[in-house]
Amino acid sequence: MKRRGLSLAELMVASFCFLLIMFSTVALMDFVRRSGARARAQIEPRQQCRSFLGLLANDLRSASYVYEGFNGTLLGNPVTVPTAGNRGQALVFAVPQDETPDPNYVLTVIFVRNRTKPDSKNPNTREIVYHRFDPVKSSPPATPGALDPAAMTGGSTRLFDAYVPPGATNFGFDMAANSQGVGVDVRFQMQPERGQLQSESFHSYLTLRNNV
Amino acid sequence: MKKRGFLLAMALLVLPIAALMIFSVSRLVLTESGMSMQAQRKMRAFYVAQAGLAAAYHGFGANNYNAVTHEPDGSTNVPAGDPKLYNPYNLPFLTRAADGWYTWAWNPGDPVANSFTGSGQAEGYRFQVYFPDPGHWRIVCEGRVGAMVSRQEQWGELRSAYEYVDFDNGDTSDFNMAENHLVEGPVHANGNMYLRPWSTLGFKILTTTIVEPVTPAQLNMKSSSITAAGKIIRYEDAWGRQDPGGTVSISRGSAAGPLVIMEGRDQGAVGAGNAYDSDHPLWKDTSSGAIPKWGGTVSDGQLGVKKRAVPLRDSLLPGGYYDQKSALPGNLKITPGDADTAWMHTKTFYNQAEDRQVTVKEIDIAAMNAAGVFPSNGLIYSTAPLRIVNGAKLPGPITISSDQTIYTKSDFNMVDPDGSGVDQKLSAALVTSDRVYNLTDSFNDADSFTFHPATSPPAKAVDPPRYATDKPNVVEINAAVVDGQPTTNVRAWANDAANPYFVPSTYVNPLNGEDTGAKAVATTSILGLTVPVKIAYPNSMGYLENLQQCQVVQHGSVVHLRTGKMARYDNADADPTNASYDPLVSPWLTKSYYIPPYADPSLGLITRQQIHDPRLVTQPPPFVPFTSRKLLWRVLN
Repeated sequence: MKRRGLSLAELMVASFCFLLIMFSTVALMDFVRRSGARARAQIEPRQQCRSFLGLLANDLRSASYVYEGFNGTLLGNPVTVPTAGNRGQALVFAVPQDETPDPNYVLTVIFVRNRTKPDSKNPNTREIVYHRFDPVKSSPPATPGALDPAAMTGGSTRLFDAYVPPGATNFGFDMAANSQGVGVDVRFQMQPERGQLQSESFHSYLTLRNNV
Repeated sequence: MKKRGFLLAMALLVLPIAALMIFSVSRLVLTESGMSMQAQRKMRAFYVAQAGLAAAYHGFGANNYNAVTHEPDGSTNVPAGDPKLYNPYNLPFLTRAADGWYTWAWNPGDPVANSFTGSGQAEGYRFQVYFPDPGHWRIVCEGRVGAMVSRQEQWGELRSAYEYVDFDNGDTSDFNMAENHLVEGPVHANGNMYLRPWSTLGFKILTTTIVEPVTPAQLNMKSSSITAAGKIIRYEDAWGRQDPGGTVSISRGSAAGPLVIMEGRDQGAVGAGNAYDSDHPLWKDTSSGAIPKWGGTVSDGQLGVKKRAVPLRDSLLPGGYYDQKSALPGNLKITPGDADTAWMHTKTFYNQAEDRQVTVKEIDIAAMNAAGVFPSNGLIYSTAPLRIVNGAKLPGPITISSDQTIYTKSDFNMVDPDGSGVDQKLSAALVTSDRVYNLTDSFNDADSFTFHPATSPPAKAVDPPRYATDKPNVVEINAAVVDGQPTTNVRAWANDAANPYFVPSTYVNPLNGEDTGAKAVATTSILGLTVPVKIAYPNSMGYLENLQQCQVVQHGSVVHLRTGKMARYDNADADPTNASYDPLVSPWLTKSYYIPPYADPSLGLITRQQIHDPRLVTQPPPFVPFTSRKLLWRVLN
């Protein structure tokens, strides 16, 4: 049998096909990767918990006052902030917005409520509400405790769809006895359409920096 | 069979796909790993910057919050030798770079124990401190681990401690020891503020020579600002002694505003939650709480009042801020080894409250001025205990500072020292990490060694008039007085398991069953009754005499730094004759050895008055101690 090898035309056609397949594969993989990431970002409660903790860390460290023991209705939800040395499921604090002795304060409220998106696989799970009210000044100056959280208006809400299961152990704030720090616990638990139950707990301890 | 290159084509197709998949997976793993490492480095840099910021603020406190690395523009270096340069007294590991920033660095090869993160990567921080505008400070700090940098800033504001008529770096009990007390000026406590007027006498049955007021206790506070970072408490004092009755009134809106009563026992509000204070359920109410009741004059930690940091104890120790400033031209430093002069004499007497012999350098202000050695820039720093005499008329503004006890004898910085009718009072301050005592003209060094039991007090002290119209027996102390002792400075009251001298309960008068509110440190038996020989008030005042016919008038400020280092409970390390003597500790008071001043309210006189002197702010004495409050912290990148 005579072996002729590949002709130039065959080689070019094979190379063209190879390149076509390669580019298609790369494009396909990239599309799948991006779609997966998008999907994960939308539904991944782990990521939601991390984002929540990251935002809270930055805000709470900058805060100058925590409304310990506040008990009232905010954004239509009952909110009870723990007192020093105790644990609760809501937090309200004031963050100064500038370095003047009479600054504007942004009051921030955090609590959990039942998820707004129905999910038969995960009934009774909760989402985290993170709301910043419009900036206000206190009277007398620099006494944010004189501000009434229930009288705050406006602002913007960010929801963290974190699939927090019911129960005080799954979401809570531990107020330090000296009121200078807050321990934060968040746990998510999600049963996906397919596959195993997902769950993870996060804990962080945050100290207020704008104090002695 | 004819082979047409099928396998080759397959190989060409499959191999790149496999390679691509491996590449993708590898890239994903590397990216995730890189992000994780990056987050870890970022976190490390964040905390290194935090450490730098904390170190910078600590050093700032040792500099009395009054020293900088840069000019207000934040970029021009403060040159070496400039008195306002930030001095790292207590941070010897810092070096100053050519750009003026202070730096700390750890590099691979340095001792691992010195590394902050233990990461093995080069790390460090640098910071600058400056005042963008007067009274407003900014610290910028950069933390670095490897190539990762975290930049943070902290803003804050300063106030002179002398802006307050009474400033306490802890729980304040200054308003618990007089039957009739007037306070005029701003007041602040970093802890709780107890508003419970009460006499510190309590032995009238046992010692007929002691006269007590018969009118109800009264505390009047005329102030634009009464703030406590803790609570304001009306129903008891710092030692749990309940409100015995009386009236507390605080001006509304300003010092000139109408007095509004803070309800206590005599107003029908008995005990926690009933007395009108921080524990009252309406305290924070926006329509009937403390803010509307006193027009913003009164606020506490619940309403957002923050602590104000005071200068560190280091600032008053040898080598610290005041010591270094005393080396500047026109200032003066005194040490225990200095020889006597025409204006300074070594004197020894006995401090019965501390139960120890004291050797002081007695400074005669008038003789000092005559000798031409009164410090022209107004600062004296002493590492020896001081006693100031002949200080009724000051030649100039002055700050007398020390890490030891400061005594004044007779008047200090009088308004009218010579009867000319002209106000000659100047700005003056007594600043110590220990205690300040005020003695009368009749204090006798030789007699001080004789102990007089509580049942038989010493003769009444006298302070003769200086001229015909000068009031007799009025001791005038016009100064800012800064001390460093804890709220409880009498060991019988220090409730600590390690304190064998703690006395559990107060003494009850066996004749009438009345709780005296004081503790009996030593007792004797008279006619079958147990009576105290030595007594202890929890917050003894700086007196050592029987002041029953004297009145002490003070205009200025009282500042309690609460940074003093207390001796062992047996005071062995506070005794100069012991091998364990530490000159930098303060002894516990073993007893209260004074009988408080008495001024007859029926004659319109009050037992204690604290009046703020605005001159301490408008024309302050040199080297004022500052208080600092943080305003804003944030991450810059």
